[in-house]
Amino acid sequence: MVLIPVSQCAKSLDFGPSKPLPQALPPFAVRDGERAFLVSGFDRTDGDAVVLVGQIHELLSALYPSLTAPETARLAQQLGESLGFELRDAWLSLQGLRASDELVSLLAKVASSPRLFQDWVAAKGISLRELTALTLASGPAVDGFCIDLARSPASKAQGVAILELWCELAAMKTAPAAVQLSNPEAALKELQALRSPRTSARDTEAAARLKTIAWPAHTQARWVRQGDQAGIEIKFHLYSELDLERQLQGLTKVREHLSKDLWNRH
Amino acid sequence: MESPLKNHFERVYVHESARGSRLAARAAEFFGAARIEWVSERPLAAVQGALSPSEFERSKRQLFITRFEGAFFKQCPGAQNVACCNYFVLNLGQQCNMNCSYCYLQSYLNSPLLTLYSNIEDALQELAAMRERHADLPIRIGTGEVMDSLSLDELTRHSVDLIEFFKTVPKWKLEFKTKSDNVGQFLDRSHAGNVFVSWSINPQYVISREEHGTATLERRLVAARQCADRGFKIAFHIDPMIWHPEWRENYGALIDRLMELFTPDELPQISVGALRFQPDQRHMMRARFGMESLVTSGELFLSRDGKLRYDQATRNEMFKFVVERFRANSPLWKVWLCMESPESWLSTFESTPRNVKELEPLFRPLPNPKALGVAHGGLR
Repeated sequence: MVLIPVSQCAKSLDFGPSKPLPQALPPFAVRDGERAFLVSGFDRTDGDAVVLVGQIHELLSALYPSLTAPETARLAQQLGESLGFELRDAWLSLQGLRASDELVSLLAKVASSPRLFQDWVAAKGISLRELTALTLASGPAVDGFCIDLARSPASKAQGVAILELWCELAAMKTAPAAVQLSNPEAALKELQALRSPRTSARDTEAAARLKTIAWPAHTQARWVRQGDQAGIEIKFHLYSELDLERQLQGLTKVREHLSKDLWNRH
Repeated sequence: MESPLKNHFERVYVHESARGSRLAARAAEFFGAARIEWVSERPLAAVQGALSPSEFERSKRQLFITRFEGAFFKQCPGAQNVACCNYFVLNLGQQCNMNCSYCYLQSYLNSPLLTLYSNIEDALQELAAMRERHADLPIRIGTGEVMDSLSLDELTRHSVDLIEFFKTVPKWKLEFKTKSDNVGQFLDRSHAGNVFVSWSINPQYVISREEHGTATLERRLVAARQCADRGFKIAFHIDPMIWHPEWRENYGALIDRLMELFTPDELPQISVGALRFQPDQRHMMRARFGMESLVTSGELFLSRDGKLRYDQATRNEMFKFVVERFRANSPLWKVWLCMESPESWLSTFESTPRNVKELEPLFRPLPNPKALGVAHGGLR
């Protein structure tokens, strides 16, 4: 076993892994020509590192078999800067990723995003694929939005959808200056309305018309969108056959209004 | 005037398996022998799996001529929850030299090359085997599923071979589907009256923004007029309709121009469809065309068949507009919806396709693919 003092190792591959190396284990290093690079235990300042023998990209892949999206992005950045794009691409290939122009651009974007956002992405298990919209937007507003999103109570699904919508709107130069991310569901609706203004206006109008219709007593009706279709959701309770009869009569009366005020206008 | 196709490709690869083929010889003549790179392996072999946007972009400019060992002929599987017409596809290559922002090939192809198959004689043999058993069935066969039928025809001349074959199966219909105006190579050929040349059309406003590298609307219409004058059946697909603020004016003008140039008798079918694509395709489209595109910036929602589409009410409005514009001119125009939900049919025609008398033959189910002895697959 070959050892090398940690102090003699370069730390340029420190990609900030989310899980620190257990204190009981020695750090590892690899050699690239005359230089030695620390590849784990980046927080160590003294003691020796065990020098691993082999190809750097293969050793890194073995040491870190499952990285989060931000970790992948950071390590790719560090590898490219320290040891060249060829080695970076070889390592990416071992991760099942092909170093296309778009992937490299996305990795750079993720790696340079605010750390708070990166930690949120890692904690939520968001994939690189789910972050592709990030490449659409640029500028300080993106960082600000990413930080706000990371601080919000949004679930993974909400967060991914909010991020994509906001980035698309930013690219279309229609992103709102502020989004109330403290309520992710409302934020999502707001962004969807901005992203689909025409359809949203149509839905709002239909919902308003629905309210002007005299529905039978104890009946709740609302305008609901389900994907590419929108229509009326009606809710009522039946306790007897008589109830059913009354509801049917009531709905028959409403039918004419629906034809005149809703279906033929919508 | 030199064909723009001559300078379209950055590389022209021909596989050894295609040596001696007519297509390889034509490629050498068309591009010049010096430009041909003979290869014994598929180039860009390292590119495996789904293509990145830049790889897809590049694939349009890397031509690869090779022998194909699989089945050329397949039945179009249609898709869930959409009304489907009986249609078979004959794939003589894959990828397209044109570049429409909404093209479904972006979510379908994973080859880094535009590929043309050199052994059309094997494709014709497959058709001949089918002819032995089913020459009397009203089968429609198209060559425009994973590539444009005619945009590369000045190189391949496949149209000429197919027209010749279809003389022997007068009950079958051959459909070339294109956005080009390349028809000169077969205009003077004799045919059995069962060759449809169809154009996917859009207003020039949409063509200029979304259908890059295609023929202008007027050139497509002129080509169609030439075909009709030579006895070829012609068809138009107003598909995909793309919403934009001036869509009524632009689609209205398109329909008026069609009605000016053709009569209902000359157009046995006009299919209409609206923008649709697989949700995953949005990543590639955004990367390749940005958010200024009418397609990427469109208001699209997930439909029951898993594709992104305009809101049903918007689609109904667009389809009704098209149908009413034609009907106002004459009830004889035969318009139908392509890849649409029963809701769209009911809203537009107050009926489903199998109940529209004029369209019934088109949608009458054929025996299943196994009984026909062909593969079932493809896209959509």
